[in-house]
Order: sequence, then C-alpha cells, then structure tokens
Amino acid sequence: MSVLTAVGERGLATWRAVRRSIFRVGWPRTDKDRAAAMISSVVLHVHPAKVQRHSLRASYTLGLGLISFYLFGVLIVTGVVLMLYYTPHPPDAYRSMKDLQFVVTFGLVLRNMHRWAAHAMVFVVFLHMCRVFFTGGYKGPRQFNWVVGVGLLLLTLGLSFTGYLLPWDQLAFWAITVGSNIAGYAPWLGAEVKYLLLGGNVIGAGALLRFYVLHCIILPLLAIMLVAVHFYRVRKDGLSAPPLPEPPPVEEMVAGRFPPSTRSYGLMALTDRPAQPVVEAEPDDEVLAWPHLLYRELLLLLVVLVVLHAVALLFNAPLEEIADPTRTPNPAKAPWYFLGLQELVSYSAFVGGVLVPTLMVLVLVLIPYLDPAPRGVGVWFAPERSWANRVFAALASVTILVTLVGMFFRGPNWAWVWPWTQ
Amino acid sequence: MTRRLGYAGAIGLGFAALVATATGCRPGTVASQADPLMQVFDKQAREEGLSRLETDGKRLFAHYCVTCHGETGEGDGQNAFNLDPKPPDFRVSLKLHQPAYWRQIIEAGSLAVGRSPLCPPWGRALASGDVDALVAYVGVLSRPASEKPASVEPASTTPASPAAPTVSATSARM
Amino acid sequence: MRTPQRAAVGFHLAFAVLGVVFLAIFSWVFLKEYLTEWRTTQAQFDQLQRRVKDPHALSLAAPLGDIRQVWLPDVDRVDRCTTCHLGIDDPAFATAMEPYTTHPGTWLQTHAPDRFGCTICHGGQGEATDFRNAAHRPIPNWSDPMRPPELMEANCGTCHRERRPSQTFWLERGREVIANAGCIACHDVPGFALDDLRAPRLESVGYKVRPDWLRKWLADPKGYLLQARMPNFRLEAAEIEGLTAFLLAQRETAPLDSAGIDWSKADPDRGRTVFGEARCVTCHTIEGRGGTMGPELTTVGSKVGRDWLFGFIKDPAHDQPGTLMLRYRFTDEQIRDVVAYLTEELVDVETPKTPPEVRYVDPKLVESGRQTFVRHGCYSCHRFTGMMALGKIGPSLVGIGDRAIEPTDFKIEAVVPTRSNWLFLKLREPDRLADESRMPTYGFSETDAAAAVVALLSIRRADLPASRVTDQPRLARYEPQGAFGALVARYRCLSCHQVRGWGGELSTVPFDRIGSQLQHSYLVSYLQLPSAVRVSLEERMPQFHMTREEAETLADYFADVFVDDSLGGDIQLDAEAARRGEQLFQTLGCRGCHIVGRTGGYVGPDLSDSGRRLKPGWIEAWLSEPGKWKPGTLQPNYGLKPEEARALTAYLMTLSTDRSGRKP
Repeated sequence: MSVLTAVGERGLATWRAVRRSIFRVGWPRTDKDRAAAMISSVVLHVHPAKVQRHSLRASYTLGLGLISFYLFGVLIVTGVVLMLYYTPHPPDAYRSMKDLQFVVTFGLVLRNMHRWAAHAMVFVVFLHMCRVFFTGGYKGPRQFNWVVGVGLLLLTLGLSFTGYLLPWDQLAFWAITVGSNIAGYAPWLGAEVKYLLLGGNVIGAGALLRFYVLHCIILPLLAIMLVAVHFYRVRKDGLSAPPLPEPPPVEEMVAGRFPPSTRSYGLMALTDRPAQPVVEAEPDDEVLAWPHLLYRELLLLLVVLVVLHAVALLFNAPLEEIADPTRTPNPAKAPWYFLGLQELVSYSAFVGGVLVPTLMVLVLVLIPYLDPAPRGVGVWFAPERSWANRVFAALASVTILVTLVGMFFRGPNWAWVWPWTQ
Repeated sequence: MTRRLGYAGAIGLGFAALVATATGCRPGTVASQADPLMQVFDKQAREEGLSRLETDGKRLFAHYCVTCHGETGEGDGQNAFNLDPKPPDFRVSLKLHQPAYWRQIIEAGSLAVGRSPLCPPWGRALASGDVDALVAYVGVLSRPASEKPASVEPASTTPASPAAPTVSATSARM
Repeated sequence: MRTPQRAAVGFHLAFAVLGVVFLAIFSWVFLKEYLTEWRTTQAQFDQLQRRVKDPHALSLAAPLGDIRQVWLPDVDRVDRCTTCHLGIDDPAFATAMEPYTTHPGTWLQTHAPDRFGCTICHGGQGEATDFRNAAHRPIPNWSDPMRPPELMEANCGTCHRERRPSQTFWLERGREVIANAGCIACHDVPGFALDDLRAPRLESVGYKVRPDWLRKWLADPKGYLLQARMPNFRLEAAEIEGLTAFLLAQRETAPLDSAGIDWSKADPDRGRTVFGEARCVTCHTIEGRGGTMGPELTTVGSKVGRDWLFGFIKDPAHDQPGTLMLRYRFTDEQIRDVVAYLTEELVDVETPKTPPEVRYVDPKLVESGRQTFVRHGCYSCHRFTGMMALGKIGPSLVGIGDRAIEPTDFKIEAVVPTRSNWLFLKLREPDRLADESRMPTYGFSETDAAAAVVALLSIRRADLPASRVTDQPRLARYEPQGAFGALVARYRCLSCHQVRGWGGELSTVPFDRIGSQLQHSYLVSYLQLPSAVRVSLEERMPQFHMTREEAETLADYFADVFVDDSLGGDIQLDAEAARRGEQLFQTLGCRGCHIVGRTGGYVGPDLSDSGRRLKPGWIEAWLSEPGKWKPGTLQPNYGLKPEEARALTAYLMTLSTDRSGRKP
C-alpha cells in the first residue's frame, strides 16, 4: 500500500512539474495570479492584465473588431483544410469544388463556412470601421492605427476578391472579369495593375494560380503582419478609446507623455511619471482581464461559431456551371462589395473606376489627420462631432445604397429591375 | 440622446430595408409553362400506351409480320388471302397458350410446334432482345379490343381515345 | 468591485445556453455527414441483399459505406451513380425497387458500365452523390439533366455517328429529316455533306417555268407540291416580284430544239400509253400515287412550257446535268405524244391554258430579285454559277447539342426554357423566336421536328476520342467509264441501284454481285422489257426502250465484272436432288410467300421462272444464309444443311415456266 501511495505521489509530483513547465502560472485563484496569467502566456499576453470597464461594454464597441478577428481565424482554419482538396488549375479547380461538395467528408460544410465567413468578414470589417469613426476612435494617439485599419480593410477586400475566383465557375470568372476591368480603368497604372493581377491579359490558368498564391500566402501574410501591428497599437493605446469628458489638465500634459487615463502601464511611463504610487494613480474603472474580458471574448467566440455553423449548415455556397469564357452571363456582376463601384462605373467609367475608389481610400487614410482635434471621443455620435458624423454617415449610406442597387435592382444589360419581379 | 436614437434608428431602418429586399428577391413562381417538345413525346407515348420494349416490338412486327398477320394480328394481312391455313386471329388464339409458346413459334417456326409451316423461323435473323420485343408486342395484341392502347387499333375502327390507360402510360415512360 | 466568485449569474447562464447550442449545432455537422442520402441508401441495400437469393458475388464482396465511382478520363467524366444504384448490373435485383433495380434490357451487355459509366447515355451530374444534385430532374446550373428515353437517343448519337444507327427510332428519323430538308445548305452540320442536297439548277429556269406558276411557287411551295423540299421563305410580294423577274431572266442554255415538231399531230392517248409503259410513276406522283424521287406531275402542264418539256424529256441532262432522270430512247413522235398528254391532261383547271405573255426586262427589278436571291441564300441549295464563293448564311451547328440557351432567347415566356424546346420551336416556327430570321418555314410535322431536335442534340461540342466513335465508312464515288459508263449515265441506273453503297435506294437489288445472281440471257431480255418479279411492289423498273446492243453491253459487263467468285461453281443438279427439293419446298411452306405456277404468296419474288432467271450458286448461297446477303430480309433462315440447300436449288432450277403456265 505504501508503495502505491509512494508511486502515486511521485507520479503526481511529476505531473505537476510537467504542467508547471508548460503553464508557468497554474489556474489562477488570486488577483495577482490572474494578472500574472495574462501577461505570462504567449497567447493571452495580447491582453493587458487590467482593462478599463468602459471597453467591456458591448454596446460601446459591439465587439466588431473581435468578431472580424474570429472570422479571420475561422477562415484560416477552414482555408487550410480546403487547401488539401483544391487544385488551382482549371478545370481541375471546378472538379475539386464538386468533389468537396459531394465526396469529401464534411466538405460541404467546410466550404460553406469558408464562404459565409468571408462575406461576413467584409461586412463586419466595414461595420467596425464605422463604429470606430462614430466613436472618434481614430483621434490621437490612434491615428496610425486607423491607417493600419484601412490597410486591413483593403487586404480583406483583396482576400475576398482573390478567393472569389478560385471555384472557377461562371459566377467567379465573370465577377473577376468585371472586377479586374474596373481595376484597369485607372490611367497609366490601371493596365499595369491589371496585368500584374492576372499575370497576363486574360483570365486563365496563370491568373488562377496567381490569385491562389495571393489568396493563400501573400495576402494572409500581409494581413497577419498588419493585424499584429493593429493589435499592438490597440494594446498600447488602451483597448478602446474611453470617453474624454474634458481635456486633461495642462500641467499633466508633458511633451511626449500621454494622458494617463488612456493608457495601460508601461515600463518607461513609470520612470517618466511624477513619483506616485502606482496603486493610488490607478483609475477607478479598471478591472482584471481574467475573467471579465476573457469571459466576454469567449462568449463572443461561441456566438460567432454558433451563427457560422448554423448558416453553413442551412445555406449552401453557390456553384454555377464551369467557367466558360465564350459565354457571358447577362448581367455579369462583380462580387457584392464591388457592386457599388460597378453601379457607378455604369454611369461613368472614370468616376466609378478611378475617381471614387481613389478618393475613398485617400479620404479614409487622411481622416485622422484631417480631424485631429480630440473632441467627442469615446461616445457614439458625440454632439461635438455631429458634422463629421453626418458626413460619414451620409457617405456610408450612399455606399450601402449603391451596393444594394447593384445587387438587387440591376438586371440584364444593367437595366433597372424591381427585385420582386425577377 | 435623441440624436443618437435618430442615428441608430436610421441604421436600423437601413438594415431592415436590406433584409426586406433580400428576402423579397426570390425567383417568381412562374405560371405553369408549356413544354412543347415533351408534349410531342408524351402524346406519342399516350396514344401508343406502349412500353419501350413493346414499341420496339411493334416496329419489328410491322417489318416482319404484318404482311401475313395484319396490323392488328387478326390475320388479315395482304398476303393472308394466299395462305392455307390462314393466320389465326391473335385476339383469340394467343390466349390459348403461354408466351413461351409464342416465343417458340417466333424463334423456331410454326412447323416446330406441329402446325403448318407457313410461319417461318425467325430465331436466326433476330437477336434475343428483338424476340423479347416481339413477344411483348404480341402480348399487347392478344388483349381484347377494349384493353388495347389506342394506337394499335386501325384508325378506321376505333377513334384514338385521349383517355388511354394512364397507368400503363406512366409505367411505360420509365 | 466584481470578483470572479460573484460573476454575474447572467454570464454563466449565457455560457451554458450557448455551449449547449454550440454542441447541438456541431453535432448536426456530424449527423449531416453520416446520415447523408447515399449512406442511408446503402444501408437499406445491405438489408435488401440479404433477402435476395443468390446475389452476384461481386455486390456482396464490395464493401458498403464507400462512395463508388466509374472514372472515364478519356471523356472527362466521373459517374458516382453506382453509389446508390447498387444492383444495376446484378440480374438478381430485377424485381427490386428503385434505386436498386437491375438495368432493363440488354444495354449493359453492349455498354459495359466500367467503360461507359452512366451519364454518357443518361445525362445527369455524375459527380453528385444525392438524388437532387445528380440531376434526375432538371436543376439550376447543370445543363445536362437526365433525359427521357426519346432524348436519350441524342446521347446515343454522340458516339454513333452513322446515318442510321440501329434501335434508335427518333435519332434515325431525325437524321433523315435533316438530310432531306437540306439543312447543310445554310448551316455547317457535322455528319452531313453537300452531296445530300438535291435542288435543280436555275441557270436556265427562264425557259422552263410559267411566270404565274413561279409566283405561286415562291409564295408557297407546298401549295403546289406537298412533298416539296423547298421551304417557305415567307417572302413579301415585292420580293416575289423581284425574284420572279430575276429567275425568268436566267436563260443560259436554250432547251433542245423542238422547232421541227408538228404539234397538231400529237396524240395524248398514245402519250398516256407511252407514259404508262415507261413507268414514270415509279419516280413521279400523279394524283397521290407514285414515287417521290421526282417532282409531282399532277399539274405539270400548268408549270412548264411545252417546248421546254419536249427538250427535257429528250435529254434531261442537257438542262440539269446532275438530274436523276434517265434518258429514254423515245422517238420524237413518242416524246411529242407524251408532252401532249402531260400538257393537256395534267393541268391545273384554274390556270388559263396559255401563259400570259409577260416579258421581264426591267433591270432594276431583276437586280432587286438578285439581291433577294442572295439575301435568302437561295444559291446554297441551287448552286448558282457566279455565287459559288458566297458562304453559308446560317450559323454553324457545331456543338448545338451543348449550346447554352438563356431564358432571354425565348420571346415566348410560357415555355420551359430548355435547349430542346428552343430547337423545337425554331424548327417549327423560325420567325417566332427572333425578330428577323432568314430561316424559312419548313412546315415540319410535330414528330418530324421532334426527331430533328433529337438528331441535332446529338451534335456535341467536345471531341470524342476515336476509340469511342462509330461511323459508317465514307462511300467511294462510283462513276463507271467507257461504253458501260455511258449507258449507266444515260439510263441513270444509279438513281435507283447501288454499287458498293453508292447510288439510289429505290431498288432493293444492288449491282455488286448481280452477274453471279442473274443469268445473262435473262438480263438481256429483262433490260429491254422489264417484267414484274415481285408481285406486290408498286415501284417497277421502267421500260427504257433500249436497243438490244445496249442491253447486251450491260449484261456482258455485269457478267464479267459484277461477280462474286464465292457464288460460282458447278452444282450437281440431278433429278433425285430436284425431287427432294420439291418435297422440301412443300414441307417448309415456301408457297406461302412465293408464287410458283399459278398460286402462291405475294411476299417474295415469283419463282416460276427461276430456272431461266437465277444462277444456282446464288440460290444455294441465299437459301443457306439470307441474312448475310441482305440484313433484315423477310426470307427466313431455316438453318438448312448444305444438301438441303442443294436439293432446293436443284428443284428451283427446274422451274422454267412463266405465270401463264407455258413452258418455253
């Protein structure tokens, strides 16, 4: 008996040693441990040990950035699995889509999840951008993060666009034809960009392979790098911009120093600060990340997964006939997020293909530098920023409107149709 | 506060409009469309009321047998006048025997079953599938006039009935 | 300050609920996969095959729970139908319910599943593994659904490219419709050649036809001639006027000179006799009776001029070099009488007897007629000199069986928008589907149009590997030369007879071995005065009025050249054999179909004259195996032993009486 207990104790001790070698901090039971768990784990240390209470409010951020990150994760996981079955060469590409649909175990659900997550991500990223604007989250010190965010928006659109071609069906082929034609409208650069995109002048095997590499390697790598920068900035500047009731007192504004209430603790700030006990300077409304932030993040993950699974099980991703360069569907429509552009192009190629996209990107990038005054941050539709909010809301509504028109109200020959008569 | 509500309301309305348009956008239920080509095939099948095998048999019968046996198998072909004994009326004679007997006559000739030599053996000229088809069609001819599909009756005697037996027609379509 | 211990109950509840929901949905993923249609179908089959007695060893040995497929890389198809159709090649399941039933008929013996799969014949989406996506019924985004048996014949035709594939009623008929209608004139149709076209040359038509007839003909060809090949071009009145002017201006070759003919001495009754002896009704129809190789003559007197008709009968090739009509050896008086008969008796009572004297000299009208002629592509069928370089005015029909038809191609909304319906409507009413169509109205019957649709659907885009295609061999042109050739050209033997498949189909007697079949003396007398060999046929060989020398030239050539050495040889024909043969003749009941002496049947040829007509080598070979010489013949194969065939031959060679019962 004592031999057994001795062996058992030795085993348990070994087990504990192994566990501690992996998880430096065990399951936390004190506040100190909870803080330590957050900052000692490679996965969790993207979170600060403590967060401000306001940033936990769901009605404030709507969790949109987190949702888009989760969707990105789902896309990577499903995408890697799909890569095992997909061949990026026409017509095998189409055949592999059919195989996924009919033969591969769970193939249909995988593909559906990938496609609906992709569409959702474009939409959620757009909403996230709107949310950040409407809460003034692009103001200092977050200007550059906004620019990185615009870069991520463009990467998301690029990822979705490159992935759109991969099924090699009529929908894919002609959507990319329209999209790359729109890209080609820019003077001087347009033809070059289009040639670079397609690897030639026609959409063929070369274009498919190029889009595949863009979609699976180049753009995801760029996106991951930008996501890393984006998270880093978020982490360093405080998770989400808190409400600023009034500008901070002048004496605390020292060159190079940020208002203390917007920032989590960093090493250098401690040395720069006036000598105060850290504890006393602590704002009232900070709570431990574990469990409050983590709980909410996990909950949101569950919601996203449940909704994604339900949608993937109920609705099938479309797959039309194999791509036929000799037969153009009427109308041939770009992917839905470019339909607004296509609608504008139908009025004027220059306006829709060159002017509007360039202006949109330029304006978006410059927004934080056009409106740097730190007013109305941290609340939705702050009255100090009513003018900016109205303009942005109008532009966003127009974008949504033209996209809707392109999606539902345009029929053969791009003529106006009422969707219920189709 | 009201402004925020206003904005939120605008966004909500926009979303609702999007959902409404998307759900309203379903392919309209088309009023029943005609299929003219299939109607031609269906009319043939309905008028004939024959299965594919029986139709093949009918064509073979027209080529090989009608000269003596007549189009309806009543024994009134254009050559029947020259025959002694005359060919029997299928509506009566076939029921006296099993299809295997008919098959034997077709393949080996009427002489082989102890009758007159006037129906020659076709077994060496026809593939076994062709013989199956003939036996099937001969079976159709053996039914009394009321049960036969309209096409088998010569046009002068019975008008083609539009209400040909639908059961056999639907099974025939397969 | 909240602590973890006092975390809101709301959170825990949310977690619990969401967790359960997530688990439920996630397990739904697994259920959906492991309860798919094909797995449950296979499970049911497993139960079924235990009940069926003595199943094919293969189906028990193959493990269930796997997707089964036939992969045909040479035609780029994957057919997974056998995943559910598990008993398809196992006769034990003949009475099982779908989808386990055995395939009907003997199709799988000729089209093995592992070489042909399923979708080559049936259509459908072979890659799918469930009922709906396999396109058992039409589904969106798959243009090749499973077809009903009639349309399946189009799939037969994809590989079987011969003109008359066996066991396909609609396909064969459709290909015949296409050949007769002359679609090849305006469209590129794979499998059809311009040789099939038959339309008269128009370079001298100005001498031929009466203007009033021409106008009526152009307005509605079928109004004159029900079996007219020429379709209705839906011409407007101005176009008809222009075309009439243009055509009547075409006077390239004057007809043969009939100036020396004294028409007052013409005798229509004698003409009728000559007409009957010449057996013109073999090729021409009069009042519903006769053949269809040539035009109907019921009202020919109202169509053509008398002088032209004289010249034409005298030498048809003078006006129409490629005509099928032969050149009888009539005297001018005989021709005169025939022409008088035709022009006085075979007229349309409503037209005036003498044609209106109208001269078309307006060059503008002629030019507009010429433009109409070109615009409607008349030159494609009528092969007009000076227009040979012009191309076909219709679109190519290559790949028509795969052509995508959008719903917008249908101007009529109340029609199911399938390719086959589009083709059907196009054939029946070409002007209904497009605003302006130059395609004429052919007036196809419903069944003819449906058959043509089936034939058109067999013309696919993808090129099949040669190992999959069957086709009839290309016929070599046969144009004999020399004295024999001149006679064949004059009397147009090849309009009705064939040599090595080249020629007409009116006669059932090809020339290929005729020298071994018929005796020389019989041939000489027959060619001069053909008699009825087959009593029940309406088509008869015409009396050519050929000279004895000509008949002997032909018979000599037949005897020297068109022989089959396997049919020769001396045959011992003694009286004993003849007696046995006579017994056999009685026993087998040959008189049921053949006439001997005074009595007999009307099915086969009259055998009373066999001793003078046929050669014994042929009789013996024919009786031994008729199907070898003429597939589909009504002559039965009795399985005769060689001595039985010889006995019958000996008996038949003793028969030398004609039907009047006289011996020579």
